[in-house]
Amino acid sequence: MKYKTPIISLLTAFLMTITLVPQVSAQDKQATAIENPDVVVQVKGMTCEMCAYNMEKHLKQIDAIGDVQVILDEQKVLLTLNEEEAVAEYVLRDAVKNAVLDAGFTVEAVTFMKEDETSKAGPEEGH
Amino acid sequence: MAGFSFSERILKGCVIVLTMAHFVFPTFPAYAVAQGFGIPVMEPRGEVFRHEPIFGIGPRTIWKNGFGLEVGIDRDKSQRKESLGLKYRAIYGLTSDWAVTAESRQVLDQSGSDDTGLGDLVVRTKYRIYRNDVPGGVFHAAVMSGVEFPTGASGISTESTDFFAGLSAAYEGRRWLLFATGRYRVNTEGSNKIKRGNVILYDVALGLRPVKTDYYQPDLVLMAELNAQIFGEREFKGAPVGGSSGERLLAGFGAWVTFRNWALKPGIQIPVYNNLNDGDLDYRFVVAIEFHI
Repeated sequence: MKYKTPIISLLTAFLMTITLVPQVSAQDKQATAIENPDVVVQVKGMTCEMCAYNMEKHLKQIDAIGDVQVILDEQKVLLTLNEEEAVAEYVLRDAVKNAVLDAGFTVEAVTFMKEDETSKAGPEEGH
Repeated sequence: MAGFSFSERILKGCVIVLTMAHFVFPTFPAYAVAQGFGIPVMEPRGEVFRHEPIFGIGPRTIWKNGFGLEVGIDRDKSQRKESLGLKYRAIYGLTSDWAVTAESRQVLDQSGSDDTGLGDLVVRTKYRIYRNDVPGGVFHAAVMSGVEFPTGASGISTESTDFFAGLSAAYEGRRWLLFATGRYRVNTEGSNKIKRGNVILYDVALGLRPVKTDYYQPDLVLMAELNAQIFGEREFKGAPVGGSSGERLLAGFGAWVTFRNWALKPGIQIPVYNNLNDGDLDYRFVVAIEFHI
């Protein structure tokens, strides 16, 4: 049978994947689980692991952001703020929007969960 | 297809691809259609990169300043020839919609020849002309173009500078993915006086994510593909070589297994229809590992 070798190899790869995926999934929970986010970013266009990695990478480049948690199914990114690098809310909002844009996605909303005194000096919120 | 001329085949193929694109994008912009014809991409061998079909290609680019590396091993087997090779590919994102890729294939072993070594260098660019992000998905389309330089080792290189162009459209969602791509490749006469026939390629791929895992969990997507290849007549010293043109339809099955910025992509491709005199492919098998930073 001329397809024997590749079919066996492919089946082996699939079996390994199917066996390993649930085990790794159970063990490898998201590194950062944020219970009380400072900022929630609602986005559009994320479909896969690499999209999530890309989003995480871009947002972590912003000094004012501490931890990042990407929730693919909800198309949501939870952020905590780095208090040592605090910036005005409108500055952070623009930085987040630019980071999401550079990552290749669309921002639907950036919601600050806690009131920020510095935001009063900035422009009005816009999505 | 035997009754169609080469230009009729191109037109028919464009209609098929654009019809599929229209199906995927009900609001597919007119400028995307207009620019889609005659724009630069690729060769029959598989294109495995960042959530693209295993043996076709998709409109995905990489993020701005993103860099990706891929190494894959592939094996082609036909009744007349076997070939084992390593494929190297690097991609860089100039913007989130514009990427440049360089790639080459190293032949490790091939039957009937002692020639091994690095093959020709392919440089291509892909520009995403349309993108509509939706919750948990994206509709997008890209044009591509590229050049294959005859930089390969003796006996491996095609010894000609070849050009390619294409248009790709896709919907990628959390559960289903659909890709449709048309490509055209213009081969020039090499220093060996052989001009391989121009090639038209049409690819359709359907993907399914059986389990919607979240970030930091391995992500499995199963892919099924149809790859049509239409080869024009070969020429030797300017004279057509009779019986050297023809068509081939291949079916491909594969998977993406992704974990954060790593991906593993195995796939197998087998012929469904073939009327090429020298294209008796038995199977093509590929496994690639991809890494993005």
